[in-house]
Amino acid sequence: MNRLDMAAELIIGHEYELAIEMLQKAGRDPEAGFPGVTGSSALRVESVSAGIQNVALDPGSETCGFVRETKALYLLSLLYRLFDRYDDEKTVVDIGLTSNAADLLPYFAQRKHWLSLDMYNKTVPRQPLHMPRNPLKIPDPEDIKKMCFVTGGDTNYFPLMVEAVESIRATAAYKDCDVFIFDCGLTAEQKQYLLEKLNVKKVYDPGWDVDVPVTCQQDGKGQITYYQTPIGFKCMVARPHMDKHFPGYRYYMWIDADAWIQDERAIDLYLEYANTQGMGLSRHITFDTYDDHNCYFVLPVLTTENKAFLRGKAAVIVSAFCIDIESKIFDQWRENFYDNIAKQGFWWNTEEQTLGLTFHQRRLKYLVEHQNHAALVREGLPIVFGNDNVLHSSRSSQILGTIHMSSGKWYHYFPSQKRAQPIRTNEEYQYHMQQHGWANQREVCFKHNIEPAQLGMENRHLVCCRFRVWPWADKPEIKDILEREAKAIQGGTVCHA
Amino acid sequence: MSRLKVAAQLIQAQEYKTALDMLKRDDTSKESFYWRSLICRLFDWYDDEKKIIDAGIQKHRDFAYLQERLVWHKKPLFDKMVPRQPVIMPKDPITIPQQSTIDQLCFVTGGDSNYFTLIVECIESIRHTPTYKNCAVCVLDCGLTSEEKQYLIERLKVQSIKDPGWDVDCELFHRYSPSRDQTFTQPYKEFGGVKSMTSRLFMKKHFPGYRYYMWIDGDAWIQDERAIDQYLYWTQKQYCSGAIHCNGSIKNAGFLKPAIMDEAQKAVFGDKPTFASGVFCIDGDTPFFDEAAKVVTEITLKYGYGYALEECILNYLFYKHQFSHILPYECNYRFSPGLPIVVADDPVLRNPHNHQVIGILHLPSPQKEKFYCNTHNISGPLSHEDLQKHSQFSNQAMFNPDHPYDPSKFGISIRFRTWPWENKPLIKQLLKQEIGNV
Repeated sequence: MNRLDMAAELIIGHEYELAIEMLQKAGRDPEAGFPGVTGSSALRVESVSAGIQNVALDPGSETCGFVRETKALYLLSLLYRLFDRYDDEKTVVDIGLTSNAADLLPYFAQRKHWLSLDMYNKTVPRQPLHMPRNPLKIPDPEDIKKMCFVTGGDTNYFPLMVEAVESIRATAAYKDCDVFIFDCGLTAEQKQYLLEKLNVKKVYDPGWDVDVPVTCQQDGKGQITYYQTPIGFKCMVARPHMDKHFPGYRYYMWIDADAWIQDERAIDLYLEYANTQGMGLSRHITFDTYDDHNCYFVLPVLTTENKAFLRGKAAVIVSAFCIDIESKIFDQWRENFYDNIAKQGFWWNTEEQTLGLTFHQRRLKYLVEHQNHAALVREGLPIVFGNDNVLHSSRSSQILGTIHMSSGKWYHYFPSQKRAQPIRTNEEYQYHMQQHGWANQREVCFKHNIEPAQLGMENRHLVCCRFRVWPWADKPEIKDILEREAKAIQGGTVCHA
Repeated sequence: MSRLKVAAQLIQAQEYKTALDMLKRDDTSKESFYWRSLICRLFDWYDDEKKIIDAGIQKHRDFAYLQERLVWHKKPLFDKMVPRQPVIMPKDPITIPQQSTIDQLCFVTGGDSNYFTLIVECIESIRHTPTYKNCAVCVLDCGLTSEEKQYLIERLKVQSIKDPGWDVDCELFHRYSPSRDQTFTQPYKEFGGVKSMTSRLFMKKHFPGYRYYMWIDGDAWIQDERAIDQYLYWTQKQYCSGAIHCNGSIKNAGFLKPAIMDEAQKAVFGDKPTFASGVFCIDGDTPFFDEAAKVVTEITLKYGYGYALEECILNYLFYKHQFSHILPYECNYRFSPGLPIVVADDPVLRNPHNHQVIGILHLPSPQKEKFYCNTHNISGPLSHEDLQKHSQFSNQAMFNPDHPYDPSKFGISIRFRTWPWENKPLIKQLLKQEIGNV
């Protein structure tokens, strides 16, 4: 029996890891293997092949050996795909392309093309998560019909925006809701993609609802300076005017383009709060209250009277919120927004602070933050229990509803942290933050000049913090092909293929 | 302003409980009874609703709604319950089964009439999985009535129901009582329940034509189908798979005190981790079934049938073939760590120790009705001290018949069926319509 036959037998016995090692070992055999493919520990393979001497990839004719060698590369490519080992697969595909096996060349060419895509295009929407609801909180289908989602951004945010919309389309209850997008600098192709592929109802340039040619900022000395308002800031100005731009709905659910829905029960809550009190909004994960420790609140974004009113109250985050148009909250928000811009100028988060102001003027209740909404900067990386591919809050161990990537979006292909048990004590939490805090992971990348994507994606059980993950739906098909090929090898038909 | 109008405003603001208090003061109008009944149904307060219906029907005999509700209240608890909401969670991609594997899988369960409602729930839980809902389900009839069998075939599309007869021809059945430290022996064929123990080793003989045989006890049910993925994935690798026994190993188990198999056979699994035979999967294309049949025949000729012998034989063969992977406890959760927990508003049953979602729950006590009792609802991970308290709470709730927890009062039961949940949005709509009329 040679190595290819042994690998076939291992594949039929579903011992895929061992089959990889077997085929890799063939690669290290200078007489029979293929160059360049290196493997990890061969110890377990040794135990399998114990007693078998002079193993060669193929004992037969030169042509037959050649066909079998290419077949081995093919199997190895499939096996690497099964385990998401795409860096390893790339080496195999490159060798496969140098072969002259006509029947497999299209496969290797196709894989070469796929492997050359950027990471975003290689990843796919993650598997659905549909959890039981508290029966009292099951949303009324009539309310869902009156609801629309709104998001927006510029061309830099396009992949994130796609993922945000994909995550809406992946929900069970909200998948058919209308989705609107503020075009704050998207290309024509991007708009077309959103309309055609994701069935977005409308992509719309909101213009400038308020004329803010310059944006204020404060330098290190406390001096206020101005810069030309970037086109992407249209989104901020447009948010208080969602109901004007997209009339005809009762509930407007805003979701930042860099946020996505993991567990739709969070949307149930936003909707329920909007239904009962006019608005559903989360508390800010970063700051407990509006006070002098809050680096945004200390800026003169709001008037002195407004700041005095807000001081000491809970800070809110507006990356996801839902407003009932009948509550007239939009009107109140706009009033606060215009008033503060007129008196204080336009700042980076004027609309966020004025919505917080409106929220507290109405004495509303906020959603519990880490249960429903997580910004990853302060939360630390989400945790995953064992092989349970669901992102949980490291603080509460609860399933995260919406996940907001806040800053450094491109680093969020980091894997979450696997744990066997929940974090039970404050000390354990502090340790988690030190070891696995998001910022810490970023440091690792900077220090060692590692592509963050690499750091995350090398993990087989990829549970990255973005909505898209490595392809998963093709795994059963890959196993089918492997089984078929292995049986063909065992049946001796490979040489004659 | 009349009480109804005030109640209507409260309902409008979704202040249902306050509205109920307000309506209690109006004990005459038809609307008051109707609205109160709807609010009680919204919160699953069926005992309170029953009182409202009884009082209402005295005053409004012709009110069809009240009569309908009265009929509902007269049903047994089991018939009032409905299958719970599905749990669909992302899978480890490599364990996603191939369609060809699913097509060759058959679930087998069994029991007598006492287990009928549990068997129904077990099969309902299979039929509610997205991946395995169309798989063949076969039932070993160890004392079911003809109506029960008809129900299983017609309502739950059970493929085949068969009385397995006596797969093993032996005379004596031994059972060890730990409390009395004594072994009791009785004629083998007088104890009908033993049929389902023995015959699970002969599943392939009784229901030929499949490749993967997944045994699931009648009193177990599937919450998260990823457990079945795990069973299949590992059965493909090692002939047979099972989840770790509640004690880790059966070495010191009471059922091994009497001589039920050879010492040399016991030594094969020794104090290694062993799996429980309540849920397991066997690849029928391997020699496992043949070997099991041979071993059980030889052993019973020599010793008679000892309680849980099938479990010992499965583990003996497992280690004889030098397999090693045993599935985690969540794949056959037997309540030893305590009642499952429910964290905050997330009605999913989890292992209190590691917070993992439980795949298969296996009700351990003979008082299965008790398991309509509530889970332990907590707001976050339990501290180590709280885990101990949880264990005490669980033991009382499960095994003390005088425990104050009334099983019929809680929404999240540990059985597959729960109080009706799908009608809640409809009830809210009805309430909205009513207040619109006022």
